[in-house]
Amino acid sequence: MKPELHTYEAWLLDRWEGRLTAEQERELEAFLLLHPDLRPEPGPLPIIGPGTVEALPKESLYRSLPPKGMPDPARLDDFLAARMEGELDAAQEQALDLFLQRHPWAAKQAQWMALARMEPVPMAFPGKERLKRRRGLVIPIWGRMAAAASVLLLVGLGIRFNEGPDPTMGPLVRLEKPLPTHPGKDGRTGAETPSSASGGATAVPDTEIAHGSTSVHGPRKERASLKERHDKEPAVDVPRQAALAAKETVKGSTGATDPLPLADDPGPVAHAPEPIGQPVIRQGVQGDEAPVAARSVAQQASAPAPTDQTLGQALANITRERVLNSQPRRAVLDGEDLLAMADKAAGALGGGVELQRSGEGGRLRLRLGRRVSISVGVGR
Amino acid sequence: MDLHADGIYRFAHKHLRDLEQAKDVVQESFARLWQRVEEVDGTKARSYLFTTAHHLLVDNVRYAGRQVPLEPKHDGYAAGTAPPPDLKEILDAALAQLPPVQRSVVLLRDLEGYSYEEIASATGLNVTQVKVYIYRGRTALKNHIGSLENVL
Repeated sequence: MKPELHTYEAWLLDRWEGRLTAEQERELEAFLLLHPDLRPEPGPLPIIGPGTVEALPKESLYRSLPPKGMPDPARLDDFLAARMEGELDAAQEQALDLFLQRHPWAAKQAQWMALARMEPVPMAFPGKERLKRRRGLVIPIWGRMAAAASVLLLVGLGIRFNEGPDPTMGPLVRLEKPLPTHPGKDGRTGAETPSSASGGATAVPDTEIAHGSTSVHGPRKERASLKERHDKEPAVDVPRQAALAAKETVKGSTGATDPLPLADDPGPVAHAPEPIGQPVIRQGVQGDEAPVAARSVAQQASAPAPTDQTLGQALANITRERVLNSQPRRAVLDGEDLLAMADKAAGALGGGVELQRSGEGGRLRLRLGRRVSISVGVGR
Repeated sequence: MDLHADGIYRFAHKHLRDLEQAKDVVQESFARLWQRVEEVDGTKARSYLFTTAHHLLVDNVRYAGRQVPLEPKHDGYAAGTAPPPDLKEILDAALAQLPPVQRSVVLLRDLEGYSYEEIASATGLNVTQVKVYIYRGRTALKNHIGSLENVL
């Protein structure tokens, strides 16, 4: 290998370090004879010793603000800025003035620096009224939406489970034997009950209600006859009757054919004082008619038996008891309940509902009652 | 509140060079103050407002890509195709070239007369950093003015 134009420097370094052989020395010398301009100047290469770095003034590596000492070209900007900030002492001020007089280019820099200050110009923010604190209840919109979603879910469940009986579902309770019929005073018999109308093993009336089936006379006719008796005859405690009807159902399911013993215990129940706040339907019950009549009342009246109500009825009654503070009924949520809900909501709002629109920014404010208002703005 | 609103409005307008965005910054700053009014010392409300505004402005510049180079119209000055700008326009253009934090520091110093300590409190920097930013900012403004001197 011979030295070339792009490798001769490495050859030179190797020579200085004494790593060339005699033959390589001859090759390098021949190359330098051909290229005398590439021959290095005589003398040793400069060597950077460890003390050279330590000799550098470390202070010069730090920038001192405001600048210390007297102005110089390298730190002129710092001195000019420090003058604007008022951070030069008197001696530095004099030295800077002298420096600027001696160096016209520096004076030009000082002139530009003097212009580099933002002058405060008065600006008034329009619409300061909008910045004032608005006192009132802050309603997070997601909370409202969650409440609305909950109500919708409840209503949806109510509708779903109150749509009527599923024809594919069997009765909740079924008697093994038909209930006995009892002739009444007016000549009607237990045929009022669907059990005797359909004959054979038949669901108890509660089950029929759940399935929406009708009696011989139809439910409307049956209710009419009940209302007729209701107007004539003394009161009967409906829950009591419902309990007795349930008892009767149990007996019937065990195959007992004896008349239900409601008539054996009519006195205290029929003539007991009416409890306040409980639904009471006055129903005349006499003799053997009593069990059937009581059962019919229990079927059609509002007292729900915990064992035979549908889920929709249960939800409706929970709503009535816990939200509307009304008595449970067998019926699902109906117009009466909706009215009660509306009345409850209006009572809660108290001061009424008002919708205002402010002129600026198209802001809408919905006031609900005396203490709640929702303000909505359009845009930013 | 009036003085603070005007000051923040001016600060934001100089920062963003956009009146509508400046209004948004003022409203947002006050909205945040009212949200935490129970926690903010009344004597530090001004500092709280400017701190909030500073952060909003820096976020705005960083995320909306408002760090644009010198506006093209200044190229027109040199070409002689546009009327020469006045000093205010030159300074505004030079200010727009500064990094957002540096811009806030210079504006708080010049427009609001804040001390180094107040600026440090508002911007979350230390006093030394504030000094460095101010010196650098002034030098940058000076150099920008000098670069257009022949045009003017």
